[in-house]
Amino acid sequence: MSELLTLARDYIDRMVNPSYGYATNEDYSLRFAQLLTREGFESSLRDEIRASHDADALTSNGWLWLIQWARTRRIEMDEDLLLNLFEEWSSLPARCAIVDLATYNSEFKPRPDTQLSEFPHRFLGRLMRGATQTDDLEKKDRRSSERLRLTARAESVLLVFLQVGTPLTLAAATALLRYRWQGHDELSEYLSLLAETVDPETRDVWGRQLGIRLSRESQE
Amino acid sequence: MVGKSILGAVESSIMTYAKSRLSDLVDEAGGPYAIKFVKSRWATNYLTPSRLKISETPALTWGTATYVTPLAFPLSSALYGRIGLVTDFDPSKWRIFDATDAAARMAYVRWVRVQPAFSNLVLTVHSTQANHYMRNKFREDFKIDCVLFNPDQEADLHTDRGRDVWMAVTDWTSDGKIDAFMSDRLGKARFTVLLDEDFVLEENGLPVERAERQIEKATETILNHQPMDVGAARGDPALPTTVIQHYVNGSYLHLFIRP
Repeated sequence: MSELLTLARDYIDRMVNPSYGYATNEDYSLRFAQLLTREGFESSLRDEIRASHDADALTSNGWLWLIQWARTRRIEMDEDLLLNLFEEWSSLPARCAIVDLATYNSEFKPRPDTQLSEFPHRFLGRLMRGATQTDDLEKKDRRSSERLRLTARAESVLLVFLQVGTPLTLAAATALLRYRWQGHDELSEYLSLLAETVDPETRDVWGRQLGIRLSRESQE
Repeated sequence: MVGKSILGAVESSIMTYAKSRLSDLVDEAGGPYAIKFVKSRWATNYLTPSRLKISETPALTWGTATYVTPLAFPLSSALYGRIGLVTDFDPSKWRIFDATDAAARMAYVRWVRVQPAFSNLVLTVHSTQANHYMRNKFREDFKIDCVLFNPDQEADLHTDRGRDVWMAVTDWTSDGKIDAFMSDRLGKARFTVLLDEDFVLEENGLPVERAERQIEKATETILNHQPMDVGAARGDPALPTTVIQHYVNGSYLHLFIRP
């Protein structure tokens, strides 16, 4: 349990939760900035962030701020904690911030044909394996409506990879799209639908980056 | 992950400082100075030149940035406090996105519409965070040092939403991310203006579009008043009598701070 983060929970929430309003956010933000200038406070905070494992230590707004702050300060966070937070949140910007923090200093240069099973970045590999696990959904007693959501988690992970848009996350997106699993066809169909919402030039860029034909013109 | 036409439209909306509207505003004001009004409690922190705080709240118009106004609009941000902090800045190498221009705003809209996560802006409850994320990503992707924009909120008679221009200034980390915490680019802010007015920013938890003057509006309705140095008033044995006289006469006593 991180004591400093737990103590700071409400304070940080007032600093970043928009529901408190601009004036409160700014006021607490300035106070926090003052704290950071005190000798030893920032280094204590850095140590706490590195050692933190408890997803309940902060509110979701607080974590989002902390993850972005850690990114600007190049502070690494526990991989399991990031994975827990990723699974816990449905907010796509928050998930993008997590993937950005987990991958920004990666030196992996994946080949375009890298398979999901051998994906070299451990955190992204764990995300993809978690999103394509279907054991519990394949049981015969599952309702069809549940089966229809087979790809929901994979869709969200794909969207985050595309939005972060670095060579590494785009390679992960390609590996996810090529992976042969129960939801393969539905995930490909989802990407096609998504691609139809953008202009043809952008659709071609997506197709080139992912190594997948998306453009109707190209298919004809 | 964006097509050439959209990239071109955005790039053509980004100016060097010399060709930007900011350059004209700086010339108009007599130099590269900016002002930001803050709450009174921060006055003592800015008695000597200090860095302005970078605003990180997702509720702001152009993402994580330091929000100031060029000195061409000295009272425009008065709704945020009574203390005006003034700093100089060096915009000579800035890339400036002028969102006061409709073509530039539409270039942003075209860009955001082709983002993979665009549906999050229109189909989820996370739109505030999603917009914040998009605005930051936009500024990072195009290395925008400063966004010029017309304010969303105005202080009665102090701000003109159609005319005034505000700035969202970016500080960068060494690897090209938007920095948080304190601004080095607006790093010599000093307590320079004291304003005798207060505004209410929110109503029922929502930001007001136009904040009314609270003090001046009341004083306008009172015919007579007497200004008095608050330092002198504190030691004046006749002060109770003076206050009673104003009460009886329907006038008011204005206690001001003599520098």
